[in-house]
Amino acid sequence: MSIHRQYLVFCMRGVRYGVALDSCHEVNLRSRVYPVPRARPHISGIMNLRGEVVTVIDLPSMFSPSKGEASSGAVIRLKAGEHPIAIRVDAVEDILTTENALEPPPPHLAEEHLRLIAGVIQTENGIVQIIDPQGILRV
Amino acid sequence: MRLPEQDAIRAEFVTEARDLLMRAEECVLRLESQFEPGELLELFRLIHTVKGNTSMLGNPEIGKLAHSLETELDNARQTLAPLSLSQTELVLSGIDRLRTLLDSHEGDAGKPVERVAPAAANRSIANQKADNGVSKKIKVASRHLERARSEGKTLSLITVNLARDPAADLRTSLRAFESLWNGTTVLGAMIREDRLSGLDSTDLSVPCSFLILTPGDPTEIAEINSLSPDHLQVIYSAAPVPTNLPAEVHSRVERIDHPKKTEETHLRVSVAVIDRLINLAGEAVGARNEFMQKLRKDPVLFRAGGRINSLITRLQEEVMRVRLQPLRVFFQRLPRLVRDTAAATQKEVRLVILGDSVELDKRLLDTIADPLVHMIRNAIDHGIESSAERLQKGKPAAGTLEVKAQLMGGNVVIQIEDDGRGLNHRAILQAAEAHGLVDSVRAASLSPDEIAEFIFHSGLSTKSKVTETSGRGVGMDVVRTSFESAGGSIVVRSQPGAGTQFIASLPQTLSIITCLIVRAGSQRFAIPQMNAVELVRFDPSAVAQMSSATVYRLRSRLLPIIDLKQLFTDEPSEKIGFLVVVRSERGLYGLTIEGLDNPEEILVKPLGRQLQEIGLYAGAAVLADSSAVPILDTGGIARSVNLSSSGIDSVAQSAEDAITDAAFAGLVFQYGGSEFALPVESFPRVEKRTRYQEESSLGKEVVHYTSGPIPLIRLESLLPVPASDGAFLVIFTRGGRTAAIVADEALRVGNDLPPVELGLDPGSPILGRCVVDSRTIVVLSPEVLLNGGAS
Repeated sequence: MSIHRQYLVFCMRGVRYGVALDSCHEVNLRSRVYPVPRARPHISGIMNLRGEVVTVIDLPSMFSPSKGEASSGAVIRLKAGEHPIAIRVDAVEDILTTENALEPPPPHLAEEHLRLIAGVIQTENGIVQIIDPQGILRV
Repeated sequence: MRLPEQDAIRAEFVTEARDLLMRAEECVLRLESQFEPGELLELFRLIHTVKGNTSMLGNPEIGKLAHSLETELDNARQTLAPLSLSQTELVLSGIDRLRTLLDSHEGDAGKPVERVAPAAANRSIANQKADNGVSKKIKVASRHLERARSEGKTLSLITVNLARDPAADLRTSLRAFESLWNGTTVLGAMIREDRLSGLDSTDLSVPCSFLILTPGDPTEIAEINSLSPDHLQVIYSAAPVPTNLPAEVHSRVERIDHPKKTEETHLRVSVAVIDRLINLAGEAVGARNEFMQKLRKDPVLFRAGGRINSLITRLQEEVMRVRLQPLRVFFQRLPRLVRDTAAATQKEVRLVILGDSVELDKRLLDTIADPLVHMIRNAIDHGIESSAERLQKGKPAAGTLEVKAQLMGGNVVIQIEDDGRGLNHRAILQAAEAHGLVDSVRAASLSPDEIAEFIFHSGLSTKSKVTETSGRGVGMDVVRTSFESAGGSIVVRSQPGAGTQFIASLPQTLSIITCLIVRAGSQRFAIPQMNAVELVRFDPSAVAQMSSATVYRLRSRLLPIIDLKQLFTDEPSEKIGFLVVVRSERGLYGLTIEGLDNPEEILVKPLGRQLQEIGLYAGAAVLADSSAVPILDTGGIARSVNLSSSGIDSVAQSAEDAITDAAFAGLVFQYGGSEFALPVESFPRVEKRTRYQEESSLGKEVVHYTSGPIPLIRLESLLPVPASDGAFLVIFTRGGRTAAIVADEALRVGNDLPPVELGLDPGSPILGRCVVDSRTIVVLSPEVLLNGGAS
């Protein structure tokens, strides 16, 4: 018997990433993010998601510190953590349903990236790096 | 008579006791499968709490059973031995029986004594069965019962505590009983030796029982004499139809054995769920506002939306009430506290509690409970004199301590007042000088109220010795900090020889607060109005450099200032518009801001951990345009720049001073064809009239605002303007009071209006006038408007 796993696949700076679908709350395409001065660089700011104030993590900047222009992008609200958090990504692509097992992340990744990556999934279109929401919370 | 709210409190106790019993049962079951000393202690603690709770119900049967269960468990707790099978059975059946009693108690709440031992009527021994198998018998001569039956009266036993030397007291009590209640006969009196044995020698009273025959319900007697039903045992009750006694007895017995299963009247709900509800309600209000705005263009749809509009308003109001608790929950602890403190300090104190039905957010109540206890202890220990001293001064021997709560605007005002010796202003001033809080030159010019303020400084003590009841490390500085952290304030007034009065004020709920919306560069921040003392137009010439600190001269006082933009971006503000004087636990300071938006009523949202860590924000606010802005933590900002408290001065709140500054800032609105303005210092804000319900009560119109009813002001009743049924409200606040003015349209928040030409009559609702583009703007006086148009 095979187990189907579902991942929400998105892209950042041309690289495909995924996050387990059951750890996502919702995807928001048009939410405005308001900056919070003196917050650490990987935090985009806060947004109002139907009355809830959600901390928005700037995921691309966690992977490469050089700040690209703030993409209009999409915001994925995660279920992790006591306080609501969301990650800002460049674009949401698809939902990937796969039987393939999660493989360990490639060893050449930098230490700080390894903490964010739970593993990789092989697909027909190449590999997808799967984000670990707990890793984001720990940063 | 029993009041409905007493029933509500009892119901709360019953709900809590049920919950505790359920957990106790789980404990017993776990203990049975595997013994664990901690579990046994937990079980003991639970039953102990049940006992404490149920004692409030005034049902002797429940109290006794809980007590015997506790005793049983206490023995086991001492030895820490596993419970035997028979012990487990005993505890479980005791828990079951307690549940049954709680059910029947709730169903019977109106008449707690009726079901005690009714079956004893045809026997000479009243048999009151306690439920752990021990039966307690009260021997009563059969002639008394016969008499009660033939006369159709109620026979009961009242147990009271008499002072020692009972012989003297008994006679007076006997006479008192007979003369007080017409038709009451005292058949006998006895000292309850069975209860005497349990008392220790320090107890000054002796339990004494009276056998009395009353024509009516003896509960009333107990209540007149302020005895709890605990003190009353009905042995024989006159049945409504005495001839039909057996049936009556039967039906009552049935009621005990099959108590009515009542629905739970209280639910324990997690605070997280409540917070989500509050958030959703707030969001619904926001969405509704946006919706109604769009509907305005279509009168038919607008009317149809009116129903949804008012429903959402009511929904939000009710949801906000969920977290409110009556102060009674706290106040009912006070009689005991006052009694114990008075006993420890050997004083006589009469406690007066007023306004215990005033409601307060539970979180705030928890924050201020300890400070209030501290202040009450202080008042008795230091304020109220000994009886001898009082008599010498011509005061009554017993001091009076008054604890009073009131709802004023959206604020709960709590006053603690004693008629004791008052503060020693001279000693306070000496201590303040010794601590370097004030120099001798200024000290001479301070008013008594200003001197009294020093008691809120940390480390300042005039006490020569620490007593048992106070001086245990919690000072008045902690009291003030607690009230401030709850968004409130506290002041003291004292008259030597006549007493001391503390007035504390705090918002009823933390969830919705009025905020100033300020700008620094493109960034907007919210500053809670309760943290903002004053708003003044920035005058660059008032800035001075003192050693390392930048200060601002405000009415001959120096105030440290922090540039808001520089604080967040390291770049100084380009054009400073205003100075917001804010308070922190390090004192007042000024925040310079570039611009100001319309103040808003906002719902406070928590910030995530990563943003809290910054230490500059108290939370986040969702504004009416659905943007999210951070709320500044004025205390955190003071700490982050290491603002020192020396050199910081208190600033008197004075509207006139600010307004007579060169230029004027205010909210300009239109009504009846004229333009009016309210100074920004009164935090004017614009709301749509449809958002709130209006009501006419006692000839005055009120608006049911988020914080409660506030006066509705129609300018045509004060000024010669044509009446208009404007669609907007301008809400403003001054000195803790809030009111609403009907307006046709809000024009703008003017930051640079020309100077106001002040009117001559200080009692007029018109403060003055200013002219913009050859049009006159009438500047209104918030104070006079709040006083109903006359000062």
